[in-house]
Amino acid sequence: MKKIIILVLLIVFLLSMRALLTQKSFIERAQKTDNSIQAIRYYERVLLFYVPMSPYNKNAVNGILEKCEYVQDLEQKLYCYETLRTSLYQVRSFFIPYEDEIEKLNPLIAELRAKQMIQWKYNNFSDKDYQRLYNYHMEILKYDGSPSVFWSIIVIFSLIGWISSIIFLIFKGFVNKKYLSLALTSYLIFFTLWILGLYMA
Amino acid sequence: MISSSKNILFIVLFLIIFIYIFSLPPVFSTGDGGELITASYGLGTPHPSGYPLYVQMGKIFSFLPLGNIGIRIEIVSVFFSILALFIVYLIIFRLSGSTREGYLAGVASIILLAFSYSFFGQSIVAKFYTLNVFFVLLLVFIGVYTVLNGYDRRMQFLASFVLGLTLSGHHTGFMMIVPLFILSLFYYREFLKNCFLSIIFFFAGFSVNLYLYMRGIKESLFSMISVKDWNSFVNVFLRKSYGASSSIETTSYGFVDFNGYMYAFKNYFYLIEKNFTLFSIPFFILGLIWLFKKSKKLFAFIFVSFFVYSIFLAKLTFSTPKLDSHILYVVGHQYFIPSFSIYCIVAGSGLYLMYTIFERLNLQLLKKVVPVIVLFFPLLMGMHRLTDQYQRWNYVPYSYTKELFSSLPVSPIYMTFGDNHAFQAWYIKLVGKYREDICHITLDNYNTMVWALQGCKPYKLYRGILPEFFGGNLKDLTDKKRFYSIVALSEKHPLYRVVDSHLYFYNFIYIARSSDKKEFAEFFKERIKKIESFLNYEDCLTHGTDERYTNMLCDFSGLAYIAVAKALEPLHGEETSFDQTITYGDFMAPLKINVKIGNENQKYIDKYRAIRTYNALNRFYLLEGDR
Repeated sequence: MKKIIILVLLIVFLLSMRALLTQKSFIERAQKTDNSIQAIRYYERVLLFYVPMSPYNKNAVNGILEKCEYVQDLEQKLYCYETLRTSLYQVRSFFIPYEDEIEKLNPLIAELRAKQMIQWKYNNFSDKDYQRLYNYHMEILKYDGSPSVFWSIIVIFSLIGWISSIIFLIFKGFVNKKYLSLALTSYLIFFTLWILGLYMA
Repeated sequence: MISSSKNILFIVLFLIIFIYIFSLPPVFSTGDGGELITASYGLGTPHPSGYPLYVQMGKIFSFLPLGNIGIRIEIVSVFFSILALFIVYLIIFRLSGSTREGYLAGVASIILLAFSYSFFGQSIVAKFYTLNVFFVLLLVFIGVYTVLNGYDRRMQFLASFVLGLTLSGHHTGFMMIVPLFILSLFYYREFLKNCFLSIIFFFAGFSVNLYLYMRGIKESLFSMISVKDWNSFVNVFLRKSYGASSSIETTSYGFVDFNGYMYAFKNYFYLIEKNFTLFSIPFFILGLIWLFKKSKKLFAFIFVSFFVYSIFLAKLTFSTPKLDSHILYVVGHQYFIPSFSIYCIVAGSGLYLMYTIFERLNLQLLKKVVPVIVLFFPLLMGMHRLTDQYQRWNYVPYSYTKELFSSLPVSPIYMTFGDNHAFQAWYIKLVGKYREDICHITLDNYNTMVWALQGCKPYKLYRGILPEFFGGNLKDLTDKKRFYSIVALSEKHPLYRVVDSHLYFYNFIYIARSSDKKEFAEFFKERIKKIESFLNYEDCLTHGTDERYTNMLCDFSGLAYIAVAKALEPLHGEETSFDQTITYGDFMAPLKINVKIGNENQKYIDKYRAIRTYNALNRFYLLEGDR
């Protein structure tokens, strides 16, 4: 068990190192380039290598927002806001970093999408369709089909729990009756929790 | 003696983990990567057989608050790869009687395995093969432990439980039942007394598959095929939708056409040569000799294990007379990792035998020099891996799909065919929540119009913005220029009669045959000029890997450069013809484009050529040389 924990810690340490080096590399590139789309792309890569408490995270968020203000073309603006939003969603774990930014981005994105649908000359929309289209897009943006964080955690820990209980049962349960009942009880509890978690998540 | 050099193992493992972590693709890998990450994140069901254990392992790692969800789930492969390497070391060390020579042979073997082309490749992508090899090696370890220490019913129960677990991962893991059964039947008949409990433990392991049903009855974020009852479970679990490649059909190939074994041997030998060089073969032979001398049981068990995962598996999946890049990549590069691990265990035993011979003959100089050479030689292979499998900067699968999405107007249909494009789109849309206005549909068969709509759910949200599609009026959608696809139409496709597929960006746009051609030409020019800024040639020139699908994606991305060059072509200029004919299995969609080249578009042609050269499809390591 100790070896497994050391392995996980080592992996986390090395991944943090890689993430910080990548953030540094792309933030420098983003600040150097004159091409707005390229800069947004580099800032996005800084965020995709999110490290908690790294100063580069906020720099990248601000960098993208700055570019979003700067670009005039509606499609590029949409690209910009959507890029920031997707970057933040892709780095979520127990929480979504800068979730408040997402709350602000959703109406902006819905507005741009609705406007573009109206401006797309091959569609038959006019300004009076704006609110309807905006609402459709807001609904899509707000929808999140991801499984519940709480129940997902229950699923994975109870899975580890019942597999460990069986291994414990195999190695200790046949030696001592006390261990046998302990192993069987914990197996039943974890297995039930696992099934429940899978349904609820 | 051993404790003084104990650090070598730690240093070697650290080095391997370091290189693996820095070689992981930054967001997701090609092939199944996007799909498995999406399924893991969403606790969904990927393609059959569903891989429930892998998916849940992925979910655990997805909670690491570092990097992005894609790279976190790729770490599952690194994690199990390191555990597998440790078991390889442990088996050799135990076989040697825990001697210093055995220790060095074990360390040398894991270097050899860790830096072999395919093991390295599978250790850094989001796939279940290292989880599978971990289980196989655990079962090999149980067998070896039993031979060395005698029968222990706990080991029998553990093996049964692990065999059950293998059926919730890649099914080839279950093939370990053959050597274990032979070992038990010939040498440890006591196992029969404990069969009943063994079966219970087997089903306990197998019960991980309940996941498929529990998640199937829920509307989860992503499900390739939902399991809702016994029949659908059997279909998914036995991979029945793959027809001739389903689990049962494939297994039956082992017992017919025995001439195929000749090709199986030849092809497998080719893989050994590419992965470990001919230098390893004498050690493998020495290892077999040593195992035979040490114990007949041991030899029988390891030999059968190796045979099952090498020649027998090659007969089932890899016995074609001629190897091409597809079969080398999809089968040769993936399925044989367990056999490579066993190969390294035997080669490590051979190495140990060599050390003991030096010891016996008192060849002190050789005893000191040879271990150093043997440890460092495989490290040279590591240098190779940094030029062909170093995916640290491989943003291609991510950026390619994201740019493609960015080029589409709001609320279009985007149709994909084949795994690569679909899996990547699922990640970007469902995990990344990028451009959720796009309704992504996938074609199951090229010559049908049967769509899967995993990328367009829940339907009620999309009905409002795409009433044409849900109302079945595709013609209206093509008139509105909102039907895009990765599929170029050939006459075999049902849509071919009613729509034309025109080059768009990285993809195609479907336009009704009856529509005004001149109007489309204007639309094309105007549109391409507007989306040209999303082109990103940098990633396809810097990804630094020979990874097959990355090269293919970049090769395919050439379409966008031709599209831009076409939209910007001058009135007069030298006309060049580009043949971008695309094949889909037996179908061929011809695509020949003539572009006038001048100062306005020359740079796009140059980029197109640079990308084609950098991503030449013969760069693939397993394809190099004669076969």
